[in-house]
Amino acid sequence: MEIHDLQHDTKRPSGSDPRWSRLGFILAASGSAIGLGNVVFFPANAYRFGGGGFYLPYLVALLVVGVPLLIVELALGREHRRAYPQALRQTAGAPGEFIGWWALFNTGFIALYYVAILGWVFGMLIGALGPLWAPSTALPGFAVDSLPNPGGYFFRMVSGWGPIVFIVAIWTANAVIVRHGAAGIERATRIFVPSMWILMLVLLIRGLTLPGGLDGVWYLFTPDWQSMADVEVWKGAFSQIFFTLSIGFGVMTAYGAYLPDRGSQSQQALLVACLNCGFEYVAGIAVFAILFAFAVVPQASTLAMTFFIVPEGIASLPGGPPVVTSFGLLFFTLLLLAGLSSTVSMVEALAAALRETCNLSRGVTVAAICAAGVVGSSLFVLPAIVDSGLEGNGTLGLTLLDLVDHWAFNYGLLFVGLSQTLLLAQRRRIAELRQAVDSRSRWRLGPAFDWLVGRVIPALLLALIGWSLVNEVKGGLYGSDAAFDAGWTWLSQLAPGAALATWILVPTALAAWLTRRSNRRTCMETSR
Amino acid sequence: MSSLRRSIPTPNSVVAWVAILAVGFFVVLVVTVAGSTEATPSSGQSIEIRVDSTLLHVGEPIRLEVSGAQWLDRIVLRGESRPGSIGAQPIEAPWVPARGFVDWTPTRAGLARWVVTDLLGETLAVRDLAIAPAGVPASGVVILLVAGGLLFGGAGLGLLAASGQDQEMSDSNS
Repeated sequence: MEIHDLQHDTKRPSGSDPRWSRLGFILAASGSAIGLGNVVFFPANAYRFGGGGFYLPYLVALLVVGVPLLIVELALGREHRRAYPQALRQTAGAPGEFIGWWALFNTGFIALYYVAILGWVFGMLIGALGPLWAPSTALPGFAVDSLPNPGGYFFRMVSGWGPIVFIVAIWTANAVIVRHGAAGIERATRIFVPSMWILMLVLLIRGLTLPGGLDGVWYLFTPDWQSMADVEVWKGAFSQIFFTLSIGFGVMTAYGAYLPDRGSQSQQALLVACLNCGFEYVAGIAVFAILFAFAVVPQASTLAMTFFIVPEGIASLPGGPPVVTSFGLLFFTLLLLAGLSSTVSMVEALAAALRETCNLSRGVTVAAICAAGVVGSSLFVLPAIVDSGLEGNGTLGLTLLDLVDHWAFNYGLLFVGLSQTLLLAQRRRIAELRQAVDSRSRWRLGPAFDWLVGRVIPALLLALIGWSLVNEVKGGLYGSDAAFDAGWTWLSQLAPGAALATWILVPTALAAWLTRRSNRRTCMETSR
Repeated sequence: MSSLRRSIPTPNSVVAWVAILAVGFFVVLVVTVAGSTEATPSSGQSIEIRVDSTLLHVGEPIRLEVSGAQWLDRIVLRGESRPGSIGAQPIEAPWVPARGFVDWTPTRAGLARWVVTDLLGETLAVRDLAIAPAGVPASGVVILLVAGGLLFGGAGLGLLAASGQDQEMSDSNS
């Protein structure tokens, strides 16, 4: 098979783009899957949902939903050699393409605030060279004069304009990597992924060698049957699996389009899922060991885990400032690499799809996405102080991030998974995909796979979404009970509804427009 | 194919990058030896919660004492097991102002938070404690091993299967 250099081939659809090498695919796909979700969101969710009470549901979610859906998404890309919306169109017609575009714009929302978080990580990385480890930081504009670090340093940073510069840097890095397509992503992940594993292993060894560190490991893995009876724990486990495996993002189908002809998607999916969750397993052990060694109570928020809790544990490491600084730099570098390897996959998924539909060059598409990304991410780093007492999120950017994350992450990914499986089941395409995968593999998935993907997974997802929506209605619109300073109280009336409406309407309108555009083109081609 | 391969670093260059990363890490470690400020943040509270033991285990009684408080009848010491998690529970160890301390025997492993508040509920001091299980929990060890075996075994199996298939393909081609 002749593989071309994408740099000289910017207008072809992904069907004739270069393919991954086998190692390249493993690194790129696991790099996409390994992100902030593994390093901090997993430990935060694991603590929040009861440690050992979370781990078993998480393993069940991995095996019952994660691996099968990963096989489906990879196989869609491999079979059609198209990006997510186009592959779904070929499989399930125009409704499929609509779902595909909707998924990608939901991914776009996630990418916008994900880069904002990475911008703050960048800021903390700079802070880790010194000021982050000072006892406290003055907080002009807040109700408190100063706050102990690392919280003080973080709020000082997010209440300034510095993070705008950082997000420009992150989006530029994304543009540089994705500009060269599969080759660029493969090149970057060949450096990022091994580095992430090395950095994480250093943290693991340090965590486990701390006195009392092992007690945190027992907390993470000892089953808590009482917690497991709570539906919220299962919802948390399923959401974590979707997020951590990049399911419902459209990323794996885009990556599947570049797979070599040989190779089975069942084996590839198993490999990627196990590498990703293996990384999460190591990260969970490392973080829980540090938390327990220093008795640091994680807050419910995953951002708190990233910016306060783990850094607080690092600040307590024995060995003095050199050790603290080094491990602080190590931790934030790890987060930056993990986050960047994930955002490039989100940009690539959207770029591949837009390029195919709008017939644009890769350079123009990537530049347009990243320019729009800078503008969008800037909203999530707006430094206006709306809650000076720090009862809630503190700044306008953090408030918006919290609202959008609630819908795009908690509902968007599950909704895409549900729509995709229902559509494939309704069009009776699951057996076709399964047979195609089986034809390239020594492992046979068997008809039980059709039943699992077509019946069990949609029923589970429907139950989880339904349960969450019922609680949502009972508890009132998310964010409407937040407290703001005088002059910003209108935010509690306006922002929650506006965030929900934006999250529903923008992807829906764009998906409808792009699907109609494809319909028109198909009609013209047919009439010719 | 060759043009793509040429543009991708060889394993040697990956090793070089990893080496650069490692050297950078240790350079930072050495460079920051001098001139850094003390790292540990302090609460600055005058009221403190003192614990009579550093190694806390399930089933072993401990005493939590409030020091630095002028009026013990105007403060309350409360505890919560696994705060911030779905299994959070208030700790049953009533505060008796006349004594100035609480005796508590932990019944659950995990983190616990003890807070001193005034009568209006304002927080005056916080102490987080890690409670170790009474022994090594067998179910925890089993899940640790099963999960590790499943995840890394699965990755190994996937890799082996893919390699075996490549080998078969190249054998059949030749």
